[in-house]
Amino acid sequence: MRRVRVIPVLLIADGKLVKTERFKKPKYVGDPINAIRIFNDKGVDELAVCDISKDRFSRGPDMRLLEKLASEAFMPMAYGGGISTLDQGMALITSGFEKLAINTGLVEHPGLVTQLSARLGSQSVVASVDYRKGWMGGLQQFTHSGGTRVRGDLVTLIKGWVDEGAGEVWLNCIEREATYTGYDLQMIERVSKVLPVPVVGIGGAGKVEDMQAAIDAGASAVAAGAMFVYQRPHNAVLISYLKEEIFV
Amino acid sequence: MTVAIINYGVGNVGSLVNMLERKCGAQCEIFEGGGILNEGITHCILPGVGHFGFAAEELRKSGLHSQLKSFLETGGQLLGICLGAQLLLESSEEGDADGLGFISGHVKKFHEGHLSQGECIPHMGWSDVQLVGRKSDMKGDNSMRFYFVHSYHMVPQDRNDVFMTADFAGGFTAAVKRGNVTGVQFHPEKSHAFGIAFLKSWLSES
Repeated sequence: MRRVRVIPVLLIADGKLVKTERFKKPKYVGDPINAIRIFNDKGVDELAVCDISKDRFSRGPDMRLLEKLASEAFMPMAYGGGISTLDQGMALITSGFEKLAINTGLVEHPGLVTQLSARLGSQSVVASVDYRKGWMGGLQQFTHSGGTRVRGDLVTLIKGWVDEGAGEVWLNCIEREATYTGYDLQMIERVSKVLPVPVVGIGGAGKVEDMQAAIDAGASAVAAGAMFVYQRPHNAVLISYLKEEIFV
Repeated sequence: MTVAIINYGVGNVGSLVNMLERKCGAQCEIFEGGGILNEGITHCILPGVGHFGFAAEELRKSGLHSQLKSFLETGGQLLGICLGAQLLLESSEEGDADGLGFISGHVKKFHEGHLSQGECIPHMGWSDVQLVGRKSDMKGDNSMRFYFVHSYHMVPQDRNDVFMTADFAGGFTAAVKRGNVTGVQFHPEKSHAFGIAFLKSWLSES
């Protein structure tokens, strides 16, 4: 029996905790430190923090804030947002993060993933892949918070990031984010079949059954944002977590 | 109770301090060498991430080695975490520098040949841990799990020094204990409820 990793994803913009829907309309939902403290008490096994501030690429990771967040967390944490150099990656690991998620950097900084995994080990390097339907109807990878399309076949691109050294793939379906419509099971199945590394499904989780379905489709872990920061039906802000663990 | 945390420039000790102070009822004092360990201190933690050889050199240069030795002689409880635990042994395959030698034995790299399917080095993630050969008052003994990140593991010479084991690469020593010296390969400060329970148990030892 294996315990399934269920990873809450916290989005931050300009130091505040926010939540988007389909990568748009960032809404203020509170203070990231407060959220981490709540997750500590709920026994969360892994947490992801992603900075979606507009200036993240020019300023790089906000180390002052991130060091504070890492000091608050009583669980391993992943960070993504504006990582473009090996030095930034090293500084994040030293400050208490265990995994680095590279998204825009996959395309903008060729060789970064290889450098990071050579230095830190591939298990610390995540290829964070955002995708949605392109205008021709096929699925395509996007960077810059869904703003820039990456040329090429999605699955081929993902295989490439793993070949470069990514030890885990976050498969983030843009069109499902915060919609509670369930994960993109088809894509999870397609990708996990051909990859030698763990695939984490993101986007669309509304209930435990959605997570179970993603695992059945081949995901080795699942992540969710809205489900853990909102209470439905009116999306009132309420930090929560699963009441029981999922085993497979 | 005040806990001294040795900071010799390896990694962020923020979450360790916060866990001890907020969840375990302890006060923390960051100790950076130079001075002497406070007389009232009964518990001391040696954290650490990074390279064994480098860290061992740092400890020797800053005089912390001899300070820790006299701390132990006066009956203080010492806890090494991750690299800090490995440093309690005599030597490591990672670098030529001598360890502190408070526990006999060596630190070895995981052997590729011992990995099961799906396992890779470094060992990173949560693992269930078994207590060895002693009764413990830790809560939830049956389902203890901790968070690990490491490529090297402790191999104590005396099997009686093995405190906990975990299943990875055919099984390895997850914690050592000999008298007032304890070393854990995992990160209690990243293992939420399990880490808190472990630190509380350790703090209750005297």
